[in-house]
Amino acid sequence: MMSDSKCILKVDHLSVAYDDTVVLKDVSFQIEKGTMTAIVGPNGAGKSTLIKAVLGLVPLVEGTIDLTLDTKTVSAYGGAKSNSIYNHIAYVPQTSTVDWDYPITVFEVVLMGTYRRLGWFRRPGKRERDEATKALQTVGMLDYAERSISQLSGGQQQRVFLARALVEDQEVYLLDEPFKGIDKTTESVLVKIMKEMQSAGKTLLIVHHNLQTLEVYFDQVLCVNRRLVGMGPVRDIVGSHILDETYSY
Amino acid sequence: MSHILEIWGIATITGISCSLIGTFLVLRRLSMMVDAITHTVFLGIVLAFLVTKDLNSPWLIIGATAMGVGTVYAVEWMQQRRYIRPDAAIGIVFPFLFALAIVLVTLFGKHIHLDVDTAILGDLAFATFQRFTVDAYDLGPMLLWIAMLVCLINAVCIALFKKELILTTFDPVCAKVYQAMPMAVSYGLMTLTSLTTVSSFQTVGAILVTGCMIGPPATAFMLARSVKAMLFISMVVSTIATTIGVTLAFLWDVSIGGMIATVIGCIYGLVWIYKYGRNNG
Amino acid sequence: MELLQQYTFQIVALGTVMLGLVCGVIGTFAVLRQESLLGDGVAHSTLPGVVAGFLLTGVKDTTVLLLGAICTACLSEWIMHKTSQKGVRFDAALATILAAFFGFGTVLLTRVQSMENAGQAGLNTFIFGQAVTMMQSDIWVMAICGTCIVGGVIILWKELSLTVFDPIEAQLMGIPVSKVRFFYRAALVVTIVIGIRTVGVILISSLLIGPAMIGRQWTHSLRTLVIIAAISGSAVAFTGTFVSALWGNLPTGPIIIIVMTGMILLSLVLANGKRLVRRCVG
Repeated sequence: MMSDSKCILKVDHLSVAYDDTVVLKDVSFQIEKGTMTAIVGPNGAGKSTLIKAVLGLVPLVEGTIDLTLDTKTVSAYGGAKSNSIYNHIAYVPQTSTVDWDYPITVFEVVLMGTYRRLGWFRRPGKRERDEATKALQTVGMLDYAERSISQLSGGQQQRVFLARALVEDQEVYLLDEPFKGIDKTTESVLVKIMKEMQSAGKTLLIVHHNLQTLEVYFDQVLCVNRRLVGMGPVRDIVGSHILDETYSY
Repeated sequence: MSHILEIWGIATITGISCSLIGTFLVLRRLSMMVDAITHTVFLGIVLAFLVTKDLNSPWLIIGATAMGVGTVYAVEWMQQRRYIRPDAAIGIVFPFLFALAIVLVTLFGKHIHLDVDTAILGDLAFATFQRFTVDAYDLGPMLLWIAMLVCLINAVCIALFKKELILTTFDPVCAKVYQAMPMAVSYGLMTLTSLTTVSSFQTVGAILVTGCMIGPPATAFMLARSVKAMLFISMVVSTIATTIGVTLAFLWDVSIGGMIATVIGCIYGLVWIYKYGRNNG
Repeated sequence: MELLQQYTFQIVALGTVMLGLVCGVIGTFAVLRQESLLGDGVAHSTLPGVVAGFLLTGVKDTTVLLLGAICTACLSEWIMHKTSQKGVRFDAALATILAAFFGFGTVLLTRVQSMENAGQAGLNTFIFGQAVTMMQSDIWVMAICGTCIVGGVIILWKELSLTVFDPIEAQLMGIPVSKVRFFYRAALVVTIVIGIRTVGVILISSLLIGPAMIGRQWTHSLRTLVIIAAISGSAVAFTGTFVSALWGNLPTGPIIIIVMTGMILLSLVLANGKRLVRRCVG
């Protein structure tokens, strides 16, 4: 399946701490281009922190993150304030992090995905609007474009977030629990979109909770519990002692 | 007659610049931060006055604006401590800074004339006395020009950074991922808030600035479906309230700022009843 | 130390200490209910009541003014609660209502000032409080209100703590949540109204929040928290009163607030140090 086994994201000896509590210690792994990876682990294991560290939302204590793109390689180091890496990663946060009472339409939220590219002072034009429309179509939310976001259900909110990430058109996508609190039907719709993204050459890292669906959705699994417990293709991990070890304290 | 018109002009323009800023403050849940800033800018004025000994010095405005931003910084510092909730942090910081101001005025107030009453309440009725003249040519009241200048600054800043303001208020985490510098945008917004507060100080008074800044956007928040609509509705609400307020105040010979705040409160109440009254029986 | 034997000082100190205690107790619940700033809103809303009381009766009688204050304070507290629901921002509602009530108060105040028999003491007293003018009758009012509030909290302890922590569970357990909440809200309003006379409108919020904030740094138990808040509230009030009397002309309210903030910062630093020590030892 991974004929083009090119490493796109390389995390080396990564450690993260809040105040003086170490949350993640010495995590190293490599992700190949075009894969869909699940990040699993018990509550408080540092899954979200791992994602945030890669995004540059929390400072690294030590370690390096290398992102290899077609044309160049960018890196982030512990202690250094290097930001260039974060310009190439799209993020889908948990839906609970934003304010759903906000007076804004679905279309405007999706359009936000173009803001990074636009930078300061420039406004979204026709091209950006077309992209947003296309992304909404992909996630099947075009009919809701002019709705206020306060009227959306949990699954629809997640789809809007995914559309916003699609508009960004990055190489690597990080998703924080996209299947939290949504029904089976929506979940399969989302997975279908993610699979499409994958076949378009995108790399996805997803914080996931449901161990039953691991084999169906993902290529490989990253087991985290304050450290990297294990990593490998799904069939090697599922049913192995690594999962038990991850979920034991 | 022109006296009333001039006052109406000052109040309307102040109201519009307050609504522009206030919209984003309501969206960011910073309404009570305004209440705090309106109190603490007083300390900035007192401190600047004690240094310069001049009530007309521009340092007063600079000092007050800086103190407003300093308040935000102090509140954010407190919020990061353990077990301190954001609203509690606000409720501690501003009384402290205000208490400092009062103590300073009591200690050194004998030599200076800093009228606390006016600072808190403002006095729009006297707002037209100070004129802006060029070559003995009367161009209208000074405060009108200041209000227009501040309004222009606010409008330009919001037009330029609307995208970033919406992003940081709606989804601060994504704003950080997008490198939109949410901290810088946030402090920029708070600087504008302080500046607007300071300039409205003399017209409507400290506590009523809160009403002008938060009331119309809070009303618009119940009605609007987009930020653009919210900005528009709050400007309309503010203008209506100012017009009614100024008229009634002159009719009954009462405090203008107070009347405007009262009318804003009434409009807010009416809109609330229209929107939610039926569900609540 | 002669100061301690002065009659006026004793009266003022007694008043502020009682106020600090009651504020500490009730304020703890306000902070835990995430209504820290409600006190500020309610305090500002007493202005129209005070002025209306004076306008209607024409005399500056404490009882009338207090009754007026309680009326408008209750009204605004009721509106604030009523309007806080989905689709409305609580803090925005609070700010709007606060300004509207205060604005209306200044409107009434300008009416008073234009009247001939201007027997008003000015807004200064109201905004900043005037502990020095406290009299024995004020102490009685405070003592009665304070005893009722603290006594009520002790009697309703179980119900009150559960209602604050988990209203739905409280309802399921058959606790009359709305009645308990009514007691709490009434107690909060009364505390604020009697507090305004001492520290004034603007500073009362600090007196409500501060003691709870100090206590929270030291304990995780609600019972201990309320006790620490009550003690630190009254201790701070006494220190503030003492310092301001020592210097003669310094206003009591603001000094209390400055002492309060100092105490908060001190306990933040000390509690942090305690945690560090514990971590090093453990």
